Amino acid sequence: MNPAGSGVGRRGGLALCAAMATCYWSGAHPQPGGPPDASPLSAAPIRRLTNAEYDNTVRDLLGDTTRPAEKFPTDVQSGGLVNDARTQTTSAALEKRYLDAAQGLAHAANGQFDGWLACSAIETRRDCALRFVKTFGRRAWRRPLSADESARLMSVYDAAPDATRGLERVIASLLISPDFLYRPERDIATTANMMKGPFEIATRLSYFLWTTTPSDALLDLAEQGKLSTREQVGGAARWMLVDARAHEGLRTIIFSWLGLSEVATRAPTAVDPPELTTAVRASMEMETARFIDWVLWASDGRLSTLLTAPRTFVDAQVATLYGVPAPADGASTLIDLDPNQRSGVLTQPSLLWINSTPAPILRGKFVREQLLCQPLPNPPPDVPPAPILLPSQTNRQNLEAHRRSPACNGCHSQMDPIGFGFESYDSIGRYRTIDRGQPVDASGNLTGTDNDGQFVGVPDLARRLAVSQTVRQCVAKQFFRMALGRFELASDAPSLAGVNDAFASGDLRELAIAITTTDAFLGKKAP
Amino acid sequence: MSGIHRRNLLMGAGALSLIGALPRTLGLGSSHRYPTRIVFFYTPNGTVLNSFRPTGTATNFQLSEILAPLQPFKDKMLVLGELDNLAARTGGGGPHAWGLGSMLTGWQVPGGHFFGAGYAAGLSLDQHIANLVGNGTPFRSLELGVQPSATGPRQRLSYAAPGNPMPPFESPWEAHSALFGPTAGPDPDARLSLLRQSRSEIDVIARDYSGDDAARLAYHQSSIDEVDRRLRHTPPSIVFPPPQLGPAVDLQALDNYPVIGQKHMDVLVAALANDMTRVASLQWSWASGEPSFQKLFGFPEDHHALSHKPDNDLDSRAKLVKINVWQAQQLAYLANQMSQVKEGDETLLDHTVIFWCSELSTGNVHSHEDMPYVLLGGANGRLKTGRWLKFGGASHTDLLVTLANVMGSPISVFGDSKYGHGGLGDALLV
Repeated sequence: MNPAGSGVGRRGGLALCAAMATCYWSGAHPQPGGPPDASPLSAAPIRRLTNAEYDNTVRDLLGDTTRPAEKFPTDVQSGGLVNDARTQTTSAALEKRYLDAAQGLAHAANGQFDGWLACSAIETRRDCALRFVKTFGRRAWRRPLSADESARLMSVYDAAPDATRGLERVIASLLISPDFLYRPERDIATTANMMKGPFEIATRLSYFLWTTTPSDALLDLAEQGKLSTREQVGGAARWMLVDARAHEGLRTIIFSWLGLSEVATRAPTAVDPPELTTAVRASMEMETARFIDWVLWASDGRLSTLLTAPRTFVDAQVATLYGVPAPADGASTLIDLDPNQRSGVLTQPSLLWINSTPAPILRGKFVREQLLCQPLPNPPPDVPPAPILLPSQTNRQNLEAHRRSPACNGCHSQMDPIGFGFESYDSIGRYRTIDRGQPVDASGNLTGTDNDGQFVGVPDLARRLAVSQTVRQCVAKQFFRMALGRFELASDAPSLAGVNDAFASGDLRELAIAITTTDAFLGKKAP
Repeated sequence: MSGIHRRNLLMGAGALSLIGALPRTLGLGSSHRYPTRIVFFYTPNGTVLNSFRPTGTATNFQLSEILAPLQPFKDKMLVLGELDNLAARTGGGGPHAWGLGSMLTGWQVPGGHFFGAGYAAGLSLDQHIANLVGNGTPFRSLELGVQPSATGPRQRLSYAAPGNPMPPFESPWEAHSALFGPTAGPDPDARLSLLRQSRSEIDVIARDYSGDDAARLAYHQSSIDEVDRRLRHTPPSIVFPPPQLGPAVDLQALDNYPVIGQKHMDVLVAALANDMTRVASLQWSWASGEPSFQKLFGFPEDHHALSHKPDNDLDSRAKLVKINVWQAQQLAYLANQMSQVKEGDETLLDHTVIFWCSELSTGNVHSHEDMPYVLLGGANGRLKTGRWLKFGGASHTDLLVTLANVMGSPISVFGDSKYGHGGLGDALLV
C-alpha cells in the first residue's frame, strides 16, 4: 500500500483505505468540526449580485453593454453552484472595481441625461432631476426610495459643481450603494403575511428567471400589491417566461447545473489536443447555449428532449468535431445527427471536454453527481499509484485496473461503469469506433437509480436517464439551489416535495415556475 | 513559556500599538527602522523528501539537491524538518484539499460541494497578520497567483474568514496597475464621499441580518476602508521603482507559467519595497495543479502526474526533482531581488520572512508529515537563521504561531487549539 516506501508515512494509510472501499454519497461527507462559532446556513442569505448579474443589470438600467464586471475578480463558486450567496464576499479588489465601474458608468451615461430628464418647459432642471432620482432610483434599488433617501441624493446633486456632474454623482452614488450591489431583504418578522415583501419577491423572480434587474412592469406589479400571494407570484413567473430575458435566465441555470460555466474560459491542459483552440471552445459553448434555447423555446421544453434529442447547432468550428460539412455561411445552424451516435446535451463537445481528464471517470462522475445528485468523495489518501497506461490497451482496459483493486472499487464502481458508456467520444467529443487500435466497447451499467440496468452507448443510457425519477428530482434540486442562492436545508423538504410533483411532466419551464411558488422562494415562514 | 518567548510577546504588543502612529521608517528603535514583512510562498504537490532534506547537523549542514539554488542565502535560512500538519489527517474531499485548506488556517477542512471538500474553516495566518499590521499600508495584504485555476478549496490558500477565500491577482499586470497605476477616474473629488456613504448604508442593511450574513457585510465595510485608505494614501517617495512588465502575455497558456511567476515576483518586491503592503502570498498553481514543464525541460508529464509516481520509477523521480529544484530557483530569484533593495545598512530581505510551503509532504503517498518547510529572510533580526531544525512531529500550527509572533501578534495558539503547544519560539526566535 505504500509504494514510496522510504522516509514517509509514519502513520499507515491502510485502515482508512479499507474504510473508504465502500463509497458513500448524499450527505455522508465527513463533516469535521470547524471553529465553534461557525454560523449555520441562513434560509435567506444576503445575496450580492454575481458578476454576470451586475453586467446584465447595468445593461438594462443604463443601456451600457461594455460588461464592466469582466474586469472584476472572478466570483467564488461552490461546487456546481455559480451563485452561492455565502461565497459572494466583497474584497478590497472588488470594492475598488465597484467604485471605478460606478463612476465610469455614470460618466459614460452623461450623453443621455437630457433624454432621461425630459424636462418640460415649465420645470426647473432641479425639478426634473428630482423626478429622475425617484424613477431611476426605484429601478436601481428595485424599490421606491424613501423621502430621506431622495433628499440625500438631491443634496449630492446640489453639491456638485454643475448639473451634469451632479447627475453623474447621483448615479454613481446609487450604483456604489449596497442597495444596488446586494439584494437586501427585510426580516419577514416585520411583514403582515410572513412572506417577503413584493419588491423583494420581484427581485428574487427577476434574478432567478431573467438573471437581471426587475423591469418597470415587474416593479409596478410589486407597487400595486400584485406580488403578495402565491398565485400572483406564480402568474408573474409564467408571464416572465414569455419575455426574451428568460432565455438567458434559464440558460444560466442549466449551464450551472451541468457544470459548463467555464467551457469558454477554462484553460486547456497539456493533454488536450491542439485542435482545442480558443475559437473552438467558444463555438462549443455557443452550440450548447443554442441547443438549450431550442429545447426550451422552440421544442417542448422537456428534460428528456434536453438529454436525448439527436439534433444540435453547428458552426464551422463545431462541424469538424461532428465530422459534418460546415454550414454554407459558417453560421450556427440546426442539424439532425445520427440518433445511434448522439443524444442531446450529453454528447455535446462542451460537456464531453469539461469531463474528459480522465474521461471515463469524470463522465461517470458527472452523471452520478450532476444528474443523480449523489456526490462522491475524493480519492482516499495512500491511494495506490495509477496503473501504468499501456499504449497497446484501450482507455477502458487501462482503467479497469482501478476496479480490480478493492481500495478503488468502492468508489470507482459508482463512476466507471457509467463512464465507460461514453467511450465512443474522444476528449473533445469526436465520435470514434476505435481506441488505440482496438474496437471501442461502450457498454455500461447504470446503478443507484429507479431505472437501473445495462446499456450500450450514451443514447441508450440517456433513454434510461430521461424517464428516471431520480434524475428529475436531482434536476429540480439543482434549479432550486440556483433560485435560492444556496444549497438545500432540511427545512426545504416540503418545498422540494411540491416542486417534484409539479415537475412530473419533465417540463423545465414548469419546474422554474413551480419553484417560485414554494415557501422557500417566497421566504414564507409558518405563522 | 520561556523568558525569551515572553519578551517577544511584549515586543509584539508594543509594535502593535505603534503601528500607524509613526512614520513608516521610524518608530521601533534603531534596530527596527524598517517594518517586518511576511511572504507566503506556496508551491503545489509536495516535494521529494530524500532530495529535499539537508545533511549534517543543525548548525553545520549541507543543502540538498533541491535546496541547492538557495545556497547564497543559507545563513538567512531555516530549514524546518519533522513538522506535521495534523489538521490535514482527514477532512472533506481529498488529501490535497485537506493539506491546502489547513496549511495557513490550522483547521481541518470541512465537507462541502467541491469533490466533497468545502472552503477552509478558519481565518488564514496571512489575514490574521494583515488584520494586525495591514491598516498602516494601502494594501492590507497582497495575494498573487500564478495560474491558480478556477475557484475552489484546492485553489485558495488565503481566507479572510471561515469559508471566505481571498481571490489572488492572476495577472501581474493587473496587480501592477492596482498598486502603482493612477487611482483617479472621472471625478476623483467624489470618490471618498461615495465610499463613506456606501459604508453607512451597509450599517442600515445589516440590521436585518445576523451571523454569516452580517459577517459578510462587515467584511465589505473593511474592504471599503481599505480602498478609502488607498485613495488617501500619499504616493510614497518611490524607494524602488515599479518594474516595467512589458506587454501582457496569455495568462492561460501553459508555457507562460514561469514568466507570469517572475513578473508577479517583480511586482511583489516593488510592493514590499515601497511599503504598499507588509503581508503577501504568492501561490504557484494549485493543490494537485498540473503545470507543464514541457517548454523548460522537454518532458510532457505534468507536475501532479509526476508527483504520483512511485519512488522506484527513477525516471519520473528525476523529473519531479527537477521541478522542485526549479521551484527553489524561483524562491532564490525572489530572495535575490529582495536583497537588491537597500534598507539602511541592510536589505529588504533582512526585514522579511518568506515561508515556503506546500499542501503535501510527499505526493505519491499524499502525506502531511515532515512537511517541506523553509523560512528565508532575516525577519528584522527576530529569527535565529542559518540552521536546519527537526521538531519530532510537532504540529505545524506551532510554526504558524511563531510566524504570527514574528509579525507582532502575541498569540500562543493559532487554528484548532487541539494541535498546538504554544509555538516554536524557544527554538526559532532570537
